[in-house]
Amino acid sequence: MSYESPIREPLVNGGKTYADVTRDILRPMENKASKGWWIGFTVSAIVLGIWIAASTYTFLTGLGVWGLNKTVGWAFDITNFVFWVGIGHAGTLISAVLLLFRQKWRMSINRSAEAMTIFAVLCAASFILSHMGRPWVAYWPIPLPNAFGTLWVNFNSPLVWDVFAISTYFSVSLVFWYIGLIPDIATTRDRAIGFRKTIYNFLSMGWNGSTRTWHRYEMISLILAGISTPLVFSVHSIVSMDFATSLVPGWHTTIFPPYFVAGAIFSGFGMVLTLLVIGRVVLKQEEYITMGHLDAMCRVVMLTGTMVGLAYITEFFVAAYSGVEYEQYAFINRASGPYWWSYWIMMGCNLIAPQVFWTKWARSTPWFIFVMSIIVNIGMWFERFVIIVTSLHRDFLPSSWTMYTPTLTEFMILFGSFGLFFTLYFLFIRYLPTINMAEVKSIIPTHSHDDHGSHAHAEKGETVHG
Amino acid sequence: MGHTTAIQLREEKFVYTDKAKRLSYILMGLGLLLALIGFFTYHPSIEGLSEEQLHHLPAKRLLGSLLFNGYFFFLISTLAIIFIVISQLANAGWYVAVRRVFEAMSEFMPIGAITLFVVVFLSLYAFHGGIYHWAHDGVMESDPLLAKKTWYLNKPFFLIRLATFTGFWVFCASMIRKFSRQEDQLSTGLTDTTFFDKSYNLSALFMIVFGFTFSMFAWDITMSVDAHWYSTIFTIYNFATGWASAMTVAYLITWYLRKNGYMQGIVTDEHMHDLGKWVFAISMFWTYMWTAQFLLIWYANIPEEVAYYAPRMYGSYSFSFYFNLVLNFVIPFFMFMKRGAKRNPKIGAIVGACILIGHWNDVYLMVMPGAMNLATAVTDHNPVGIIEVPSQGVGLMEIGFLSLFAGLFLFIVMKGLTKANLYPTKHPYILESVQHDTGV
Repeated sequence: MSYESPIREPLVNGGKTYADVTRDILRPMENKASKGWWIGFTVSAIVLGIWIAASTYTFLTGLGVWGLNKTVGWAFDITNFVFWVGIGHAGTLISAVLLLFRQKWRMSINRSAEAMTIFAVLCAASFILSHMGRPWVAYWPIPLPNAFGTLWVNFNSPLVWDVFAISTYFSVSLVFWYIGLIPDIATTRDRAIGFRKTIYNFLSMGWNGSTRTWHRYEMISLILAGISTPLVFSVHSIVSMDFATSLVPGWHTTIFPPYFVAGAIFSGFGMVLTLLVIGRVVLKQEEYITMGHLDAMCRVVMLTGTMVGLAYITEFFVAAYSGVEYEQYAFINRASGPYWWSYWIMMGCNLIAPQVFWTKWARSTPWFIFVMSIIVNIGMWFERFVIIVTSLHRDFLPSSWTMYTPTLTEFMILFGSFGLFFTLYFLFIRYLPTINMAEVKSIIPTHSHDDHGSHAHAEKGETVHG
Repeated sequence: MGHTTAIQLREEKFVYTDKAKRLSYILMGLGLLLALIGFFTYHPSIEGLSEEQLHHLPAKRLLGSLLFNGYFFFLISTLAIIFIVISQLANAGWYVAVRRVFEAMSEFMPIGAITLFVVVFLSLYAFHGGIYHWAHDGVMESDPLLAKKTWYLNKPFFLIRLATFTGFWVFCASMIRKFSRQEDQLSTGLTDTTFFDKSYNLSALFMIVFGFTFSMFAWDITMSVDAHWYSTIFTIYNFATGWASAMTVAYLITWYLRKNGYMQGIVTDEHMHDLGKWVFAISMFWTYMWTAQFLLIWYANIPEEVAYYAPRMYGSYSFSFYFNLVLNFVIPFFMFMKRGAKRNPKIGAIVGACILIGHWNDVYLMVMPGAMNLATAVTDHNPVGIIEVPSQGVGLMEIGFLSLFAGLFLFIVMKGLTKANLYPTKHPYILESVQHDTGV
């Protein structure tokens, strides 16, 4: 273990031993499900039912049940898609980028953030399927040899790139998440009996904790982190190109790729905060997900919120500077046209609201952080709505200018997708360890075992024995 | 734990030897001489241009070369302090041992800022616009597109922005250096965070202000050279160019110091590895920004936008255009991905040199094509009022000013290194940094 400065806050509180870590983190899995879990799970499942009902209705009837029209051909569907893909960014960012940056505070939150990533990408994929209108031909964007002659997908289309980007991202995230789970699943297995043991034994893939398995685990983690890092950037960059390669004013702008990535990290951390501020209390993990963790996440939210804010202002400024009247109109229409309220919700939630995290109070008050995390989620949903709907509804031909109004079915699908997300999340916290025990054990202070360690000497200031 | 012997944080000063100084003097003297020869022997003859038009070119080339060289080194020194700011805000520990290298690099900022101010001032007022097309007499009035930009592109506002932005950055950088040096005088041990906190708070303010002001700074200095054109990512692209160069310079200077026997046992191969990773990572970040800008403009193929890339990609600048990608992306990607490469001073020097030449070429490519163009009357045949001047290549003027600024930069940085201990001795994270282990 490397030396740490005495001014750093401990990452795990409560003087935990290795046994404490195992016991604390496996408690929600090994006990009987609490009443709270059953309530949460049931509510989520009901909401999931709404999603199934509304989607089925759409598939059986056709996309006419949505509020789309000739001018606004994308609206709630793609807004929801980008919203969920964005949320699906924090997990891999935390586990890959923060791993490369050696940010050890990630260790208590990476597991649940990665799980969240996978569920969010599933939600996003569902919108891709449903916006096609005919999900039974959903394999058409895949370049398969086909029975229609030499008919191939259009490789020049960013929509096809998206299929590759997101499926790659999903598979790598899933593998990364599962590899990280293996040592913990083995721990679960070792404590389990009966049929439970059989299942976890199967899932642990023969992990025996030997040096050889650990060595391979470390290597594959590093390699997967290296592969995931460009993916974190590429996925949302390519999602942004769905818009930015077009000629539509408000869509075609070169800042889109990094601006979408910053927004995705922002919204992903927003969702991580929503889940963990509640989860750490309910699952009694306050000593693992400490106030220090919440503080660090609030800072990330503030930083990325300011970055997207800077991008909004840049777009606005450059439109003014460009002298191109179409660009200028697109942005004036956003801020003062019929959808002005959505623009100002976006600005207020994403740029202005996160500035409260400059104060220590805001970063250390859990209920307030929770409220802020909801605001961030709302703001980022509206960002995509603003980009998509306000750019489309007044297009190049004033005679086709129109408004878009979502239908009840669309609201039900949006609402229902949270049911899909939370159902999966509740199953996750019931059946898998929500904190990476193996990694957390590597960062708990070891004073009790190693009294002649670095801390004692560091206080003298000058000399340290390693 | 990594080391078995006791670590001694000792006083260690850099000695700037006469021999090393001579190198700077030679670079500066030779550079000035070459630039002057270049200027006086530059008699362009370009088909289709009148004597009167050709007459403007030497001054344009002189100002353009001065501007992009000054800009290049100003970016390097500014991004050096920004690296410290970011590391401070991220609560990083590993970088502390090499922090003074970045601090010394930032010492060049005032000279860079003054150079930019003087060149811009001369361009705007003494040379009838010089390298800035929009600043030529009558252009803003007769060009309907540029007429819409007078609220932003006008001479006094331009100079006020330049002076206040760079002034504020120079001030913040000097305060951060001051806090760092005052910290060395502490006698209260490594848990005293007085100056650490001061530096942290200033860094937060600086970073926010820098984010917004650097945007306008890059639009002004380089984007407004091609005044008709715009790109929202341009700022971040400039930021990436400067950052990649700054990390490379810091990496090379640190190798130089270690090769000369400094910081033994303090800065190790582990630090070189991590600095090398930064060089690699920011080179990839630059490539990402380059792709975002180029791909989206190329794909959409809107005339107003591709007008920027057409002369660069298909015209007389096409060599520089592809050279840029090879040096700034292909070489670091293939040569610097491996662990061993980043820990090897020979490979590091080769890759570092390529990256620096590459980014110098990148700023050349941002400034010179637009700077050399001539202003003419706006007509139906020529709605932008520009006569394109083919590339005049990289000649004595460009190389001369590169040598002059490189010599000056080295001189200032080496002088800067002598001003304090070669690494902070009382920084709360110094012991973390000294025992840094990349883990692979």
